[in-house]
Amino acid sequence: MDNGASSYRRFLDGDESAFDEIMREMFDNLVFFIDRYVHDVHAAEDIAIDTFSDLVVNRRRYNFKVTLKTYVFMLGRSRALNYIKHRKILTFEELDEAENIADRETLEETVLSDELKRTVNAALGKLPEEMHTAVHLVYFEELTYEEAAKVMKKNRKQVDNLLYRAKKELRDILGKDGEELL
Amino acid sequence: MKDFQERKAEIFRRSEKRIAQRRRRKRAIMSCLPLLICIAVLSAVKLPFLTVHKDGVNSPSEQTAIDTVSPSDSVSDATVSSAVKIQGDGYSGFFSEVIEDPEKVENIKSVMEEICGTDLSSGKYEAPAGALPQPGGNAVPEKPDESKSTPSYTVTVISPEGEKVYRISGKELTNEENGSQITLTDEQLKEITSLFLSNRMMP
Repeated sequence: MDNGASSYRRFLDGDESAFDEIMREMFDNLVFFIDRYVHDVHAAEDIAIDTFSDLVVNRRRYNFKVTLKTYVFMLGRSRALNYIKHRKILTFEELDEAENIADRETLEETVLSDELKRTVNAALGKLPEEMHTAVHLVYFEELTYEEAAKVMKKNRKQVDNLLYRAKKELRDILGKDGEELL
Repeated sequence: MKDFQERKAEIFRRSEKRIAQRRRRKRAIMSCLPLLICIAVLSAVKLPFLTVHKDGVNSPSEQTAIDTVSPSDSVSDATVSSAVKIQGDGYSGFFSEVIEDPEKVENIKSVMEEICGTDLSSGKYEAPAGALPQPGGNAVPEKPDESKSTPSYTVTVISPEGEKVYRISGKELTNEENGSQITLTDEQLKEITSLFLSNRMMP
C-alpha cells in the first residue's frame, strides 16, 4: 500500500478517475482529523475541500518524499490552524449546532467503523490536543511515527513521548479496552 | 454535509478559480514588466547627465585671453602669478588684452616703475626725475580732453602682492590708487605703448 502515491501519479498523467480514488480513500478521514482542531464539521469539510483543491492547483508541489496521505494531512493541519487563527467568534445557534453534531456522528460512523475505535475516540476528547492528534494519526490513520511527526511538525522522539503519555492516560480513562487497542 | 459528487465539483470549481486568479496576477505583472524595464533603462541613461559636471564655470580651462571684466576684478587664474591686463580705446577701436608672458610682464613693470618712479609691488609713489611737477601734492589732476578722441588705456598690473591700476589718456598717466598724475613725454609714451600696444594704436 503506497497511501495514494500511485493514484496521484496517474492523476498527474491525466487520469481523472485516479483523483476520485484519492478522494474516496482520504476525504472523510481528513475531515475527521481537521474537526479535532476546528470543532466544526462543516468548517472541517470546507477546509478539506480547500486542501484537495491545493492538490489540483499545485500538482507538481508534491515530491513523493512522503506518502500522499502524510502530505494531505500536513496541508489539512496547516489550513486548520490558519482557520482557527482567523476565525471570528460566531454566535451560537441551536439549529446549526444540532446539525453539526448529527454530521459529526455520521462522519464518525464512516471513519471509525470499529466500535472499539469509537470508544477510544470518545475518550480522546479528554486528552490534551497534541496527544489526541498523535493518537489519531498513528492509530486511526495508521501513519508511522515518522509520518505523524512530519504532519505535526515535530520529531519522532516527541511523537513517541506523546503516545507514551497518551497510552497512560487512556489506560486510566478506558481501562483494559483502551490498553488493548493501543 | 455534501455528498461525494458535490465535494468533487466544489474542489474543481475552487481550483479553476484559483488558477484563473493566478493567471490574472501573472498577466498583470507581465504587463507592468516592460514599463519597469523602460523606467530602469531611462534612469540609467539619464543619470550621467543629472550629475554635476566636474569642470565648473571658474575652471582655468574655460577662461580666455580676451577678458572684458572691469579692471577691479582680479584674475582668478591661480597658475599666473603676474600678468598685465590692458583695456582701452585705441586708434583701431576698443580692445582688451591680457599679457601673461613673464618676460613681457617684467618688462612692462620695470618701464612703468622707471616712468612713474613707483615700486609697483609696494604701491609707494615717488616722483620720477623726468616728470613734470604737479601743482601741489593734492591737486586734482586735469581730466583729459575727451573731445579730441585721444586714445585711452587702462593698465592693470597684477602681481602676487595685488593689483595696480593705471590710466593713460593721451599723455597723462594716472595712478588710480593714489590719484597721482604724470604727464608723459613723447618718448615715454612711445616706450609704454610699444610694449603692449604694438599692433593697435601707433599714431
